[in-house]
Amino acid sequence: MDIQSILIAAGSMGGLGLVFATVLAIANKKLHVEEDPRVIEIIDVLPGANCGGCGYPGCQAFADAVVKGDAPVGGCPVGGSDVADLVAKIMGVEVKTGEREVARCMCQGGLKEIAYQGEYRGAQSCIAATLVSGGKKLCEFGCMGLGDCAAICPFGAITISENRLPVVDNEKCVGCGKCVDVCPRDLMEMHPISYKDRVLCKNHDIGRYAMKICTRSCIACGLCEKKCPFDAIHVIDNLAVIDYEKCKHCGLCSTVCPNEAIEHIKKARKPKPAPVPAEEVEK
Amino acid sequence: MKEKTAIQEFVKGIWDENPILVQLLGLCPTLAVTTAAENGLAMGMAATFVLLCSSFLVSMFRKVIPGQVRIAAYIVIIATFVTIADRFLAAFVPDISKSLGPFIPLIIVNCIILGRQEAFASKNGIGRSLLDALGMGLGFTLVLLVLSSIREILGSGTWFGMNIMWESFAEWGVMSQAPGAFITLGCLIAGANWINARRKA
Amino acid sequence: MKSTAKIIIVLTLITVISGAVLAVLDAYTKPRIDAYKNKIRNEAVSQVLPENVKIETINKADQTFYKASKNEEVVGYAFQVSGGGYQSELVLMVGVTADFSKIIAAKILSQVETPGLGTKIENDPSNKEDPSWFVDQFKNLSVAPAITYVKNVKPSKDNEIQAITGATISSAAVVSVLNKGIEKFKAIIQE
Repeated sequence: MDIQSILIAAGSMGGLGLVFATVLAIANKKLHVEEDPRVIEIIDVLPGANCGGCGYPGCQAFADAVVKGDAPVGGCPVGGSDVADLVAKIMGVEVKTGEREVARCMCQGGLKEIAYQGEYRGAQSCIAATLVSGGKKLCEFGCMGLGDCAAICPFGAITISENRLPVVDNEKCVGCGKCVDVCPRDLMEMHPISYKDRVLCKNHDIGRYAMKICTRSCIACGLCEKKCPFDAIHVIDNLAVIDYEKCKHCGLCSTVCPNEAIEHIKKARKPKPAPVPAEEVEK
Repeated sequence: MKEKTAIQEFVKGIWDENPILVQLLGLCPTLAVTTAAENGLAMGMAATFVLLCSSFLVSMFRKVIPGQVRIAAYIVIIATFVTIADRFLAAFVPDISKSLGPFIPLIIVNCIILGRQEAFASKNGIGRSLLDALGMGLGFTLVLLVLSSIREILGSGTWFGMNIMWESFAEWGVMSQAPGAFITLGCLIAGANWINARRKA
Repeated sequence: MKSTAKIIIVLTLITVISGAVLAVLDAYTKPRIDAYKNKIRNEAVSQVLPENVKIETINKADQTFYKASKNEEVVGYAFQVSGGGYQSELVLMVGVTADFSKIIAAKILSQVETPGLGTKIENDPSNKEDPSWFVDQFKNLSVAPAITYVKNVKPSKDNEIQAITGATISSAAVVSVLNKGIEKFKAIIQE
């Protein structure tokens, strides 16, 4: 084999490489943008799903915002406390995770509880059903049980029970809020995980009718309103609504509700404090 | 964010993250060379070869190559392997080389290959990168094979050069031209989406 | 400073290795590729010239052509002609008689015309018995006066061929490439 031709080829390619490498190396020095290395480190620990659950266009934007100080270190709802800890470490702050929010379906009208208006045989999607008749169940405020929320959940946290109601797995739910956006009847809501009391009904029909169509509906009787020692629950437009500013989660309202439309989770989860940067802790 | 098993790493390229049907990458050769099944297969195999070799090297040297020149380095590595593939095709199967024309050299700028180096091989170990490259390459080849088979059968009435249609079959001229490529690819992507939707439901 | 040196060293090393590998590859594959090209060209030359002749390669005025002789008497010339087709460059090998009055035969070496239409100049799958009918028309075709083409009817004169339906431009391009090429080589050879 001709050694000379190999040398020529290797030499010419190498020469090109040398020239370009030098140009790049100089450019790297002269045009160096002071990019905070922490941005890259943060991107590396983020889940990288670019889901937008944090409110920024993607993981990169969130990382930028964290470094600039615009976003909290625990702002990634997907990564949860693990990621928050890692981000906090990169940013050099001591942080405890903020109150985690999870989704909850605000309707208890499953197949067993509710009256039917007929059989629905269309596309098995809540949005599709809304466009035609509103599905099988008679309540026009309640869950249709066709599972758009379960389908959209990127984390497999929502399952549809046999009773045709969505069940959220609090361990898997990261609070990205996609189910909240997709539900055509606005039944999915994000609540801090420490909340114990909720009105699980959205029916604004007058009491008599609401009672007829669903055994778990709020019939706007007002018993809860009278019972509440903190003036935290009111019947507004035929529906009991809790004011969480005042609610102390004592659960008294749920004891008087004749239709068990208010839930009270007995075992309280320990609420975690919101993220506080180390400097402020020291102060 | 669960770690993928080795098998999943391989399989994802064939269906879930198929470079053509899902990522819509590397469409230039996909549309241009798929006039005959033989060309599609050769193109797919050449791309797979380049992808495998470059992924191997890039993942082996991922810690050595500085970030600032990684793209230049990847391109040189890819270009070297593409030239190897090109010369080998020209030397051993000149007919195929002739019909693939300029599209073999164009593998250098195929998004699938550079994309996998950037997105995968530069961040993962050799074993995983090879599996990823093999899966992606196979996915690419399979779609090319299907696409070119449909176009060859309908457009020329042959498959791998063999006459397989009945005597009076009239060739669909459009299938062997550019619009036929777009139409067939559109149908394939629609089909893949339809299957995915059915599987999910 | 360390990173600057690293950038230069790594990239240069990669390019040097790449250049060396490609040079070795070239040394290994070049003979085969050249052999193939020669084979194709020699085949084409022998196809467009009469059988049982002695073929010589001649270079004159920067052009290469092939002289065919039988018993010391020149019987024809072959040369490569090229020109623009409908959407690609057409390259043909053509053989002519020694007095440049007739084409012995022509062969298309490369074309990338519209698939299914323009490509019929080389291979027409719709004509099952004779897929190469178009180029075969040039056999024993008179070139003085220059070749012309007719559409949709059988050619009636010695210097006429029938164009392909749906590929008139490609057909016309073949005719014009041949006319111009023969003119050019006639000037060179008979100089």
